[in-house]
Amino acid sequence: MRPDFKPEGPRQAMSWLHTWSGLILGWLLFAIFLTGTLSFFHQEITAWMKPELHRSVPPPDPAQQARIAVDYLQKRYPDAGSWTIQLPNERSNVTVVTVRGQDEDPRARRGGTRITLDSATGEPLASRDTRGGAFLFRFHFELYGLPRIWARWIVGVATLFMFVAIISGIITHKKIFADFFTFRPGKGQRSWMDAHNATAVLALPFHIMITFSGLLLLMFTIMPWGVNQVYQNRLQFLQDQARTVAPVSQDSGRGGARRAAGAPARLADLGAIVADAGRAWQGAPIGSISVIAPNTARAQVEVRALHGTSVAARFSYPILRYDGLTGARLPEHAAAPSPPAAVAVYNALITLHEGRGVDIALRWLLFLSGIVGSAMVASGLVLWCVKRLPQQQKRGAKSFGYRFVEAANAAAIAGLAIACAAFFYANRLLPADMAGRADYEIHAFFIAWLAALAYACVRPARQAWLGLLATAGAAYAVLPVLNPLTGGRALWDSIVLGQWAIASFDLACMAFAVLFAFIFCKLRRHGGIAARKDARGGMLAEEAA
Amino acid sequence: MTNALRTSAGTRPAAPAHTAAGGLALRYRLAVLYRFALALAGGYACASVTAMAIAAAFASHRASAAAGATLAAFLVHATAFIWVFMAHSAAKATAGMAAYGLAIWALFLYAGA
Repeated sequence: MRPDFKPEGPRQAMSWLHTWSGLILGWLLFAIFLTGTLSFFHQEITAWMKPELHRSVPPPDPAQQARIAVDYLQKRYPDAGSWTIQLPNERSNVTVVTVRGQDEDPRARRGGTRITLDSATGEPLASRDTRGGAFLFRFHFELYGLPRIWARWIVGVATLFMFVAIISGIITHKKIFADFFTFRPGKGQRSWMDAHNATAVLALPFHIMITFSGLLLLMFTIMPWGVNQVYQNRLQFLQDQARTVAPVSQDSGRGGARRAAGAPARLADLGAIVADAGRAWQGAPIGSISVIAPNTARAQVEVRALHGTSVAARFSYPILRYDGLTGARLPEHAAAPSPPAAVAVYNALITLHEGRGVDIALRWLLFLSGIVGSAMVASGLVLWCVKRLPQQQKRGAKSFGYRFVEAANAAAIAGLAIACAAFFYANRLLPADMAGRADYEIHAFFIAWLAALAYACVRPARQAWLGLLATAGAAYAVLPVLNPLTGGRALWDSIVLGQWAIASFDLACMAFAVLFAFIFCKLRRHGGIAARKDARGGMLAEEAA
Repeated sequence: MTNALRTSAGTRPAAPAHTAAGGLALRYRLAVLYRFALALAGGYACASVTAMAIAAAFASHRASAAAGATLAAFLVHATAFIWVFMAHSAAKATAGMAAYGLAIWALFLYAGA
């Protein structure tokens, strides 16, 4: 849109829309993008933030892991209605058991008493009070301290703006593939432009998927009209979805129901069952084992795989059922019918967004794409400033609006990295038995973020960026050292012991420290964008040419 | 819009769109505000009715209808945004949106009946 209301071509119009729809909620988008990206590993973050659990080193054989957990459950909860045992896996080094009463649904996703066990010794492990990775996960779609509905609407509108920015950005670009292979470093604005294009194009399918599915995940708040038209409430919709993908049959096969209910009986060896499931799945990892009505004649065992069957089928995992007394495998249910196209698209988008049931390689790919996406948002925000700098200089003094964007950029991008670091530091430095410590960890996050904003407001932009980048780099470099000093497993030990959930957190901190140090050095050597006289000309002129 | 801001720095003779102080005129700001409001609220209305119309039309396949309707609704909202800013005049943008809205509303009434 031009101030003189002269007509402009479609690409100019889209360039305008891209710039302003991206900027207006860009800082919020960056925060959503980055905390959301970290949430792909929220379990690992939580594992790191509970150093009391680091001592658990699982034995390699899943059958043995299962036997250790059952020994504990037999000793403490022999009369429970059901047990669920989550074995340690590539993302967790502890065993988590859930005990439910006689009257509780053994297949419920919530409820029951959860106990964390040392996978090697079977001893229960207590850990400090922390929200862990769940805080970052919740923040990325519910923010913090706002009424849930409001927060979801704000995030929903931001997501829509992101979607609009992606589409208008694509239309703006004529040479989308040429841009991907174009990087002209050390050329001021051109380089920022290239960096923004490359990060956008490199992971474009991811950006579209994550944004569109982000809208879908908020649909019950922001777009319930389609569902409301054909369903009484959303629960029916979700149940219908579950029915299309996995027919849950309540029959207990040949094993249980025929025998006298409730009569005590000896439970089959779970180790043998787990070994059989491992053979049936050709070594694909086992997620959890549910024992329904243990130590009774009705006992039944369900073994669930760690990874889902397909991204098109939500909540659908390979399951094997066993007779709880003989340990014999029960006939499998008929395979779930494949979902209709619209449901499959919906499921695939949401499963990828949530990274639920995906294996570790795909999870890393999603995480790295998320980091690239965060870099895209960040470089876009910086580009807004870089492009307007010459004109600001000509003007003599920076306008308030320009100065605001400049300070907000530094605080939102580098400041958020510092805020996350503060969250991790508070986790380790606050006393482990302090009352309300989980809340203080979160307070540390926001205090650090506000401090970064205050700093960015009082310092000139270049100094603010340098100061914040140095702080972030130093903070992440020290975290892997702080870990063993405050009760966690040192990096070299966690690697040797194969505790990758813990090691990858420390390694990621080091990678981030290197990244911030690299940007810091780049910026310092650059001597300030202000010194460049050639950083003129707009994206419009060159793109349209 | 780069041109717009550069203009405010004084490279071009002051167009009526700019105030004496060099800032952007109120008329321009209101025009931008109007299009954003049209894209957000009008686009949302169109998207909602689209979702209801599709869901109503395919109500016999409930799960697919609800999922497909919602997928389409978000696409309609994003498209509305693009349309509003692609159109040369605000009047054209408004008319196009109204035309789509009325058409999909009629379709909804027909499908829902």
